[in-house]
Amino acid sequence: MERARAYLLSVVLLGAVGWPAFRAPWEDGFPLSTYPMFAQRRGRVHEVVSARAVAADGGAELVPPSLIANAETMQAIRTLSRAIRAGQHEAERLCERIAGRLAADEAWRRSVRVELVTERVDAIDYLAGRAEAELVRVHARCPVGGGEP
Amino acid sequence: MRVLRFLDSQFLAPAPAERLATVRVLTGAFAVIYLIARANVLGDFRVQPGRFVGVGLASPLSGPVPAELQLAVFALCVVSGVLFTIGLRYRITGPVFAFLLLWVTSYRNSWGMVFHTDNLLVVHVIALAFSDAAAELSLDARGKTPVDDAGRFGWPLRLLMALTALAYLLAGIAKLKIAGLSWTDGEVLRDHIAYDALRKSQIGSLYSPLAGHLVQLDWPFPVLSWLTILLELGGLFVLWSLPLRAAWAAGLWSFHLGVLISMVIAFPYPLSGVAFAALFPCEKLWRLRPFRAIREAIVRR
Repeated sequence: MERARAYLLSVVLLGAVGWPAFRAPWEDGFPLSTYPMFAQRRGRVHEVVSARAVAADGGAELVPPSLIANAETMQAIRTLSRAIRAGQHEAERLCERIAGRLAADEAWRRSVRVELVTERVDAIDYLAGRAEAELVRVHARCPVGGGEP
Repeated sequence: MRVLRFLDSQFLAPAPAERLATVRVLTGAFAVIYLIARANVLGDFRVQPGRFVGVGLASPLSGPVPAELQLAVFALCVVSGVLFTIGLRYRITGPVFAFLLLWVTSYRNSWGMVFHTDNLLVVHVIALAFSDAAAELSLDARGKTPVDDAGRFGWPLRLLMALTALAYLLAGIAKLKIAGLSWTDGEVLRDHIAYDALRKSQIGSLYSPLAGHLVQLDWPFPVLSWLTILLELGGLFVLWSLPLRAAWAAGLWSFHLGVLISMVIAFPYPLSGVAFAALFPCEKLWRLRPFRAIREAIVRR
């Protein structure tokens, strides 16, 4: 009986955990993962998304992950990317959600609008201070509280 | 038949009950601490972090459950984790905890971002939950005579080892499938570290202060890439020998430390060392003075 339990549970668990090896690596899941992180070639030049809180004087600050999604940076990046990829409507919905959170937060009262943007940058040059991020597109723009859009 | 006998002699070889029980206590304690420390992202969904796309146990859901209900399930998960750790009515609380942990982590991964930090913990807890991991060092075992070494305490340890090796093997296979052997030229790894720091800096988040300096160098990355691939693919070949297992676990721990330092990405379970406990005679831990009192409090015969 014990021998049967040992082999049955082992075959089931090892089979389940090993099964994603036969799937395409980008067909990831949970808890059975292909573990595709860090696997694909990315190159040096990237288009990165961010949310910016713009003040009345034109100064802009990056909106932190906790006001985009939650305390998890990767979740916030994914939430931003997915909304932008899904098109204008989704981007505007997320923009309004972020604006609502800024309006409710005393520390962000100076902000008059939120912008969801994509910028292009050479990562290695940028980190060395040799390059600046270049604005590619503003996907959504929405007012904070009674601010100007 | 000879193959089966050999498999039995290896896989079902006796091991001390206290070793498996120690792995249960360490894994359970880690899980409970992890759940509590990360309650803000594992249990609190009053603010929805994205669009809901169910994965794992949450796959059948078409939308999120009420935040209060999820919080209650999370609380139950923590309570069952404590019972799993102390080994009280383990035949019930073990599987219940495994199920609830799978639910909580599935739900956490159902907001458009699949994390890879919880997978190994969840499968280890499932394997432990359906084994005799509470025959020692548990409230269930209190007042009972110590049990002899047996195969029923050996195979779960070997299963945990194999599951650990298999998880890393998959990560290595994914790299080779996607980028081929050219993954080892170092460029992919360097670009990932740079990209990670860049996108975190662009979202106003914490990123590694070392990344900017590290990615300006060429030479470390081919070496680090080869080491990564060897560690990920090599697990299944080292399980038969304790010194090789120790070297492999030390290599993986260093790898995760490197990921933490260069990308501020923490894999808490392997970094804590608990993920590798089954690879070692970890019951020796209880000989250390600070742990001796804990053991005596639990065992009390």
